[in-house]
Amino acid sequence: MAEDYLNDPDFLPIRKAYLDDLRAKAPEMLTAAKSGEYEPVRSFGHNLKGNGTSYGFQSISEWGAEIEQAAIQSDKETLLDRLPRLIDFLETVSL
Amino acid sequence: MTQDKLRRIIVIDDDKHFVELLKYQLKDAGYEVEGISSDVILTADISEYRPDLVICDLIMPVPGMDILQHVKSTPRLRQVPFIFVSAYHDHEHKIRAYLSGADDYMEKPIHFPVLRAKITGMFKRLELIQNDIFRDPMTNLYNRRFLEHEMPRLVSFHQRHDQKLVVGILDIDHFKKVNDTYGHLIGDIILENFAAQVQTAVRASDYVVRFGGEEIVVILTNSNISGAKTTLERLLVHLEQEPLFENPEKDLKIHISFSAGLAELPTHAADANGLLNQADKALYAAKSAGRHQVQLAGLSG
Repeated sequence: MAEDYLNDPDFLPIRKAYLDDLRAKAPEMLTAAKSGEYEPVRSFGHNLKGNGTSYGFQSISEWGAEIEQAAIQSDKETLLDRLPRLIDFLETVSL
Repeated sequence: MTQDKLRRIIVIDDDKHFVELLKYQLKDAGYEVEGISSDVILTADISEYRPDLVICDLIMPVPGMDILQHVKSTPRLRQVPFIFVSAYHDHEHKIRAYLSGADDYMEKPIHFPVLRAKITGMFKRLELIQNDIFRDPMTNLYNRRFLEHEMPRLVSFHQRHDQKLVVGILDIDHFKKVNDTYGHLIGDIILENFAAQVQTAVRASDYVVRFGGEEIVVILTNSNISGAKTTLERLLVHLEQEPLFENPEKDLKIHISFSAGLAELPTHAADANGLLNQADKALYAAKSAGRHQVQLAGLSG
């Protein structure tokens, strides 16, 4: 769903704010997953799935879907794979 | 005109970024978009936000279904279109949403051109419905039903935003004499033209309502009483120069004047009925003082 608005300078601050928020939340979710608290992780993944693509990050939406599903199934192994991948991505992505 | 008003969209989502995203996506479509966090919804009266459309996330700490129930069971809101947005793509959630009264259900990630098209269509339909319900067919002004529906919302909106609101009642002077002298057909034309002149004199964001007979109510939003008085006095001067009916063949030009009473929120009253009562008293004072003038509530004796 590539759209022109992603390159609009007016949209840049909105994308940056979204990423900054994720950068703060993702490590918290990794901590939660490690301690077996799956509900906040599920909700986090659900929101990523719904919104990532709208900010131009299809990979965030895809990881979000996987994180949501893994949290529903209490699948810690998958969460401890996907969440660090997401954190790496957030650390390296630049706008 | 309903379509002259800035359409107001309320977005309810626990994700503040989504609200910003929608504001951005809808800004060029000319809508006013306001976000409400779900915790505010617990205590707020959504009708005070005067929404023309509600876009609501389905799954939040305060469930979207509860908000839908609130909207659909509130008389002043039940005709407002309601769109759910959700990252749940299954049929079960959609069926529950539609059966509970949602007008639409959009999957996240939102395809924004589709959302904009949906909103355009919904507002066209809403405009047709509101024109049928809230318009006076003769003058095309808002009608009394609109006033009863909208004024309490306007008053609470202005109170919430600490803004002034001015209500005026205008009555054409000696209109019965116009009807008796020239006939009701010409009387109706004069009334239509007077309505158009009042509409032109105020801003597009103001409301002009046919209150009944030859009485017109104006609601001047985010305004003050001295500015409103100046506006109406300019109209009085304009009407001295501009006839509201002309028949060159009979060398006939009919001028009218009007009397008006004004009241201001919060200075003169704190609710819709109080404002109308105060404006009506000021109108009575204007008539008693010889007509062809504007009087203010509280100052008119």
